[in-house]
This record gives sequence, C-alpha cells and structure tokens, in this order.
Amino acid sequence: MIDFLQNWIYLTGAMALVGIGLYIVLTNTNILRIIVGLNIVDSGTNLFIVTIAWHPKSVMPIYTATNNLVVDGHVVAADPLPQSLVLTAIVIGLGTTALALAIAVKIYQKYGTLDVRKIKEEDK
Amino acid sequence: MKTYNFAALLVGVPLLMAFSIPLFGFISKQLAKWITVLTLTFEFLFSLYILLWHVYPFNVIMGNWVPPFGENLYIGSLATILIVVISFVGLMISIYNLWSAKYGDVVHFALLFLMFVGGSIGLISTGDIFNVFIFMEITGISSYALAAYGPERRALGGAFKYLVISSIGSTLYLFGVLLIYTQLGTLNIAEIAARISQTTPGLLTFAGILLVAGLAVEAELFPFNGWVPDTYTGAINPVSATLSGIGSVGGVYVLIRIVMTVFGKNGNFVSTYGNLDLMTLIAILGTATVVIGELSALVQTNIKKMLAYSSMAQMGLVAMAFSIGSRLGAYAGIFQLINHSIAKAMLFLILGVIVSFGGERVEDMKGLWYKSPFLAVTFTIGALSLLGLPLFGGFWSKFALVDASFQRGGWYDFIMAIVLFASVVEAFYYLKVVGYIFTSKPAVSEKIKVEISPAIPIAAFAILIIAIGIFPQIVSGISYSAAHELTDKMSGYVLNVIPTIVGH
Amino acid sequence: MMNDTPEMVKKVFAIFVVGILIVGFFMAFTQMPKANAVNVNNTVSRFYVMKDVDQATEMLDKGTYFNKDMVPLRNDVPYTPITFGKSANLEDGAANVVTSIVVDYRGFDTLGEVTVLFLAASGVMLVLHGQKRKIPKKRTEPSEIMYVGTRIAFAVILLFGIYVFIHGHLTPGGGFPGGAIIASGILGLFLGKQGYSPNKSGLTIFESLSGMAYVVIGIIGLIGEKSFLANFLPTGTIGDLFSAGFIALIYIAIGMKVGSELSAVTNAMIIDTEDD
Repeated sequence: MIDFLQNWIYLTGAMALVGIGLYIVLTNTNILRIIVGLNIVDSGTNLFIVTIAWHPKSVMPIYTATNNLVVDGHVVAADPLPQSLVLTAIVIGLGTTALALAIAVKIYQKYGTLDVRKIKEEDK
Repeated sequence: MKTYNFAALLVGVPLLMAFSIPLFGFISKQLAKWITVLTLTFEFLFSLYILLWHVYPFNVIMGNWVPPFGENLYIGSLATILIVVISFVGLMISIYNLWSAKYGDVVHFALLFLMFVGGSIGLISTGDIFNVFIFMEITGISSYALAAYGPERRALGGAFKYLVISSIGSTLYLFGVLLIYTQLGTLNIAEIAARISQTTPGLLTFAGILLVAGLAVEAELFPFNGWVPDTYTGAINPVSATLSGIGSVGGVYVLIRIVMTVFGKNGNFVSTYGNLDLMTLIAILGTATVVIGELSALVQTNIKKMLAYSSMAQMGLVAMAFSIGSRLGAYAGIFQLINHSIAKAMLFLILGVIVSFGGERVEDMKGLWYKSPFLAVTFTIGALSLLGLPLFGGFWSKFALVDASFQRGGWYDFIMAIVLFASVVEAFYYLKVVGYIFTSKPAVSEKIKVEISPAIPIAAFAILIIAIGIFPQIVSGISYSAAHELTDKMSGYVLNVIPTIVGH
Repeated sequence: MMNDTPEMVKKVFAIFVVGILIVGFFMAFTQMPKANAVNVNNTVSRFYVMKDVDQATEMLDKGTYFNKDMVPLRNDVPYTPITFGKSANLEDGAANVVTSIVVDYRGFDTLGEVTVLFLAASGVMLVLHGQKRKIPKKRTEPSEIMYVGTRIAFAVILLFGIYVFIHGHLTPGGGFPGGAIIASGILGLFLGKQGYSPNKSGLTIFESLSGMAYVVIGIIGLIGEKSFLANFLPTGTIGDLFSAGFIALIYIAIGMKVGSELSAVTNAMIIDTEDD
C-alpha cells in the first residue's frame, strides 16, 4: 500500500506540472512566460520518465563493491533505460529553451515589446 | 534479416560534414554553402544507388546490437523512395541557396539547412520509436532557427509560434512512447508493432491519441497547424520550400508509420488496435484540414500565404488518402506526397526569384509572362500539377485517390466528394494566378533576369513533374511496393527486422 | 497563443484542454503495471543490467527468444553473475549501467542528442548574429577579490568537470554534466570581469573537432567492427578506470563539445539590449 502511494505522489506531480505548464502556455501573452510554461511542461515530462523507472525497493543501477544489481537471477535495480532517456530529454529541453530565449531577445530588439498581441498588431 | 551496415553513412556523413562546416566557414563563406551541395549530392547518389540497384529492403545495425536490443535503421521500399525524393529536393534547394542565402550568418545557415535534410533522412530511416523523437527534435530545432532567419522581423514571430507548438507536440509524443514502454518494455518499432495487441486497450488508446496529436504538428493537420501560415509567410522562400517539401514529408511519414505499422490491424482495410480507430481519427482530421486549408487559401491576397494554406490542404489530402486503409489508398497517399513535395518546393523557389524583384501580393504576378517566360511557364507547370491536370504528376495521384475511395465505398465516398471539392477550389485560386500571369500587362515592364543557380533547380523540378506526368512508372512501381509495406505490417515490416518474432 | 479572443474564453478553453489531458493521464496511470513502476525483468533493460545482450541475441537467432504468441521469454535468457572488480571482458565494461546504455547500447541516440545541442547553439548564433556587445558605462567593475576568485575557481571547476566526464563509466555523471560544469566555470569568468570575452574561434574549433571526433569514432567502428558506433577497444575489468572500451573516448569528446558549446551560447546571449 505504501509503495502504491509513493509512486502515485510522483505521477500526480508529473500530471500537475504538465497541466500547469500547458495552462500557462495557453493563457499568457508574454513571451517569457510562455517559455517558463514550456520549461514546466518539460519538468513534468522528466519527472514522469524517472517515476516509471523507479520502485520504492529498487537500488541504483551502478555496479559497486557493495551494490548488487541482480539477486537470484532477478534484477533489483531501478530501470536504467528511462534514466538514459531522461538525460536526452533534459538536453533537448535545454536546447529548445536556449533557442527560444535567443528568439525572444531578438523580438524585443525589433519590436520593443514581448507581448504577443502587440507584436501581432505591429505586423499588420 | 538482411543487413547492409555501410548505409549508416547515410546519416553519418551529413553529421560529420555539419560538424566540420564552421571550420570551412573560417576559410570562406561560399565554401560552407558548397559543402552542403556536395554532401547532399552524396546523399542523393547513395540513395539512388539503393533504389536502382535494388539494395532495399535492409537493416542497418548500430553498434553490433541487433534489434530489438539495440537501435537499427530500416530502409524498406517506402523509406527508399522518400529518401530519394528528400535528398533530391534538398540538393536542389541547396543549389538555390548558393544564390539566395546572403544575409547575416551564412555559415550557420548552411549548417542548419544541411542538418535539417540529414535529420529528415534519419527520421525516415530509423527503426526505434525513441530515436524518432530525437530526429524530430533535430529537424525541429534546425527549422525554428531557419524560420527565424532573414531580413524581415515578422519571421521571428512565426518561428516562435512554431517553436512553442512543436515542442508541446513532441512532449506529447514522448509521453505516448513512454506509456507504451510501460506496457511492452521495448522501444523497437518492429517489436512494438508485432506485440501491440498485448497491451491494455484503454492505455493504448490514450497513448495513440497522444502520438497522433504530437505528430500532427509536423504533418500540418488541423487543429495543430496554427503555425503553418505565420511561419511560411515570415521565413525566406527557400526555407518555406524546405519546410513544405522536406519537413512535411518527414512528419507525414512518421505519422503513417506509427498509425499503420505500429497500431495497425491487418485486414482488407487497415484499422487500429485500441478503443478508438486512429484511422478514422486521421480521416476526420484530414478532411477538416482540406476544407479549412482550401477555403482559407481562396481568400488570401498574399501569394505566399496562399501557398502556405494550399500546402496545409495538400497534407490533408495525403492524410485522407492513407486513412482509406487499402493498398490503393496508401499508394495514392505516397504518390500525392511526392508530387506535393516537388511541386510546392518549386513554387516557393520561383516565388523567391519573383519576390527579389517585387512584392508578393497576387497582383504582383500580373504580366509575369512578359517579364520572364521561364518563370511563368514553370509556375504554371507547378500549379497545374497541384491541381491534378492530366500530363502532370498530380493527375495520377488524385486519380488513384478517387479510385481508392470509390473502391472502399460506404461513407468513404464522402472523401471522393472532398477531393473533387478541393480540386475545384484549387482550380479557382491557382487559375486566377495563372490568368494574371499570361493575360495582364505588367505595370512596369522591366525584365526579370534569372541567374544560373536558381534556374537549375527550378528547371529540374519542372522537368521532373512533366516526366512523372508522362511516365508515372518512374514512381508508381516503388510506391506500390511501399504501399504493400504499410498495409501488410508483418511481412512488409516486422519480419524484415526481426525474422524470428514468431517462435515455437 | 490565441490573440483576439477575450481573456475569459481563453481561460475556459485552457482549463478544458488541460482537464481532458489530466483525465486521460489518470485513466492511463490506473492501467499501468503493478505499483505503477515498470518491472525491470519484463523489459529489455534486464539484459543491459546483466550485460547479457549477446546471450539474448543467440536465443533470438535460434528462434527461442519469442514464443509462438510473440511474447518474449526474457527471464529464460541464461545469466552469468557479475562481480565488481573481478569480471573481465564483458560485452560492455561500464560499471554504470546508465552510461553503458547512453553510449554503447543506444549510442546512436546520444549522437543525435549531441547534434541537437550543437544545432541549438548554432541556431542561437544564427538568430543573434551581428549583435554588438556594449559595455555599459554606469556599472562598476567587480572587485579585485571577485576577479582573482573566479579565476582560481575556474581552474578547480575545470579539473572537476574533467574528472566527471573521465569517470563517466564508473560514477554518476558523464559527458553532459561534465561539459555543463566546465561551462559554469566559464560563466564565472564572465562575472569576474566586465566585458570578458572568450576566444570565439577557439571555441568553434574545439566544438567542431570534438563533434567530428565522435562521428569518426563511429566510422572506425564501421570499418573495424562492421557496424556504426561499435566498440573497437577491449572492455577490461569492470570497475577499473581503463575499462569499458570506447566509452571514455566518447565521453571526453562529448564533454569538450558540451563545455565549449554552452560557453559559446553564454557568450552569444550576453548582449546589452538597452539603447545606447
């Protein structure tokens, strides 16, 4: 029962982060806030990925002198594959954020505002 | 399992050259652009070798770990024909870029363009569902930067919109992939495709909706295509040509691969596992895209925006063709995709030459025939091919599409009606432009001088469109075997990757 | 993103979309395996942990890995126990299983990941091209202590970054964290001196050469071992510094690349946006 609850806390957290981030992206008109919203969505994704890899009884997936990953022919380590995927997801989120910020800097220079509505008005 | 590991260079060489372009950029900026041309020539010749010597279908094993344990590239008939088309379009646009890319940081522009094409080739050939996500991001990030490039400031807004929508889409895709991973414990497309019926239907349905929503962004399907008009209009013309001729091909390919190969259930007509038939979902999205795209294109006065909406509508037609689910439908979809890729890339390139001499309103096309007969004739060829007139490439694909929906019958007759409706609307706005080109006298009668570097790609595209129109066998044979790969997933895909998937 | 609609409609729409997503996730989560965690023994990760992919491949070739319902018999694959510090010449020698997946079993992913970061850095350069950095007149110079301190810290941080990526196959960390650590040292230098600018072409050369080194390592694998990104070095004893074949080489390339890339991005981002 405790195991069940421990995982659900993280799953709910991931769900909430994605929901909050998406809400921010959909309702805000300031470019910087939209970027923050994207980052929150990314964090939710990453939390979800590491949660599905993890079990309350699992050990870290690194061989050391004291850490046994396999007991009686069964793996007791946390699932290493999603952990390697989350590394990729983090790096990709970093790259997207850097590019988004660069575009935001340029937009501010050319339009003098970061408000999406004003930018649209100026384009007309 | 047939393997040909040497073909890893199809992805490796663009990467190597992209990493080295900044070094060449120190020597000369023009050299950086020529490196793009040379690399894409290699890609085109290599893929042509795979096609003509019939090397396909084969697997490329990465790091000596065979699928489903490691990663692999699978190049079957569908991947082969699409890689040939993509590398050809990419090569032509890179030749055009020798002339057109002249603002700002040309070296990094060449690099990002090369990786956009290289990433699309990887996207089409990969056999791992998480690797698809990475290549989506490679094409995505390079296209956001490409879309923001150029002298006009409205490019920035379009690029930012594209970035936001596309990164949310890829997050949804990632969620879908991981939900499937919790059920099957593998990321190999072939193994997932074979074992998809062993999952819980509720979870599978939700994962399928997430995957379709994420991929529909790149495939330009309604309601995830809000970025298309802004981004296409803001970007410089070669970039619009790239996004339309290469980016959407990759997007549609992955969408179809996931829906038909991974989720598909074989039968007379392909349907999908789960509580909701994803093929129906795609049919609905495609229909909505066609109607909205064509009607919006009709009222545009800016010709670039008109081409953008028309591009959207064409992708809707492609999605509708695949959603019929029969072999003929898939054939029509592939053929339509190839025609659209070539014709739309050509129209954007022609527009790039015209815009460099004047505006981009529909009225600015008036009297093009008197200014430059070459551009007038090639523009007409592209427009008529998109309309689907006989003697041009587009005729055969639209004909097959109508035929396929007629054979399926039932409410798929509705698709036939939509196709005919789309053709009529397209005829209306494209023929209006063609009429302006030939009948009106120009306001200013200065000649447009087309230089050699933009002329080569435009002429090559025009010749190819006519060639496909007169000899459809160039494309139709391999398209038909590609359609087999899609509609019969076990013998077409899974058994070619994991031959012993059915044990004893 | 929708600009003309009133505030209220937008909020209702957003709540609607988010609500549908959350209901969908909730339903999907209730159908996930027991305790909501993936049982490692039912995934391909089992072979990565046991370093057993070769055995599994053998079974796959014989046709005994899948049963006739296409269910993989993952728990039937024979297993040789691995002892830290003793087992030698395994198919993959990294003690850190995550590293062995990142660089070896799924190395192609990581090549793509490096490319994504490279493209993001190039995109930043493309978008922010031609921006002149102006040194504001009003602000005061950082103190001498800051100047000297960041330089001393940079040396230590650089060493630590190198330590992290060289020990990537033994301890948590690796090329990406190591590179990020080095870049944070360079960020310190920016703070230490007003108008500091690293050697830009030096960073570009570093970045390009280390990226090319990664692909060349892959091509050496293609020539020597008949497969792109295949390990061509002996794997040694698990737990040694010189073990795990080409993992250390690749992590050195990645570390240098990420370090120089992030420094270049930082350099491009520091722009004075005020008007004169």
